[in-house]
Amino acid sequence: MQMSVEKLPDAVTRVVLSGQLDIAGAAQVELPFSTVTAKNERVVIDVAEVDYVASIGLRLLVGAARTVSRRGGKLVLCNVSPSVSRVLEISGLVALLPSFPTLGEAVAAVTADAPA
Amino acid sequence: MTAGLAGAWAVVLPADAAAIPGLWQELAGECRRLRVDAARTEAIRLCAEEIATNIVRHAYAGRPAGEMRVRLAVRGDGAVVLAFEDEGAPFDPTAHVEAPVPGRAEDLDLGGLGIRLVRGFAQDMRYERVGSTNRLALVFAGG
Repeated sequence: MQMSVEKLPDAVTRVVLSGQLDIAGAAQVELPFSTVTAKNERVVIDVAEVDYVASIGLRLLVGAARTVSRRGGKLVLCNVSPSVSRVLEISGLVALLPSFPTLGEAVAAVTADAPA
Repeated sequence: MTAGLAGAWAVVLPADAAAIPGLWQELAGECRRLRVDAARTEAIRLCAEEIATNIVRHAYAGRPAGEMRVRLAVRGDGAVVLAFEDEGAPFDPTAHVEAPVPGRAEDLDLGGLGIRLVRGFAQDMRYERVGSTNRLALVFAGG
């Protein structure tokens, strides 16, 4: 499991994950991932290169979404593969981890004004 | 190929987190051998890892280290059955009550997420406690 971070305009942080978000993968990125998501309020997680997510990976993502949302920010996913999308649907977490087909749409979602 | 789950177990592993990646390697080979399609192979991987994780974390807590036995078989009707056995504390995942998913990430209780995934990906889940053994069978319907 690998992770890289890119700063985009408008204070958006793009976190690119690649590999398998299973027990081993989640353990590998947990610390850097949690650190980045704890410090930023507009976060896009690009999972184009993630082809497998287990419940431990969902917990990592939801934990980050929770941290960001508690501070008034927004965390979304983009480039979700069909198999990861199915895991999200079955988990019932779609509303908590919104996903967008493209990076552009995800950026638009995190930079949009939060509803009052 | 029409046998039920009697006979030798395909994989016997220590109930230890380090054994989980190896479990998938074994099951991947078994799925290929049994010609299980890609979608069901993926569902089997996810369910196997979730159930194995549960066994590793909870089954032998406060007890001597134990093992888990895992087998994959194709039924006469084409369904694939993934079966687990362990001698840990009795645990019936079919009786597990799902926590509702609240609307906000900050309120979420993630307990039971693994079992929720297993319920979603497997078409049937049967549990029985036989003596000191937990037996769980998950069914992945064909077609």
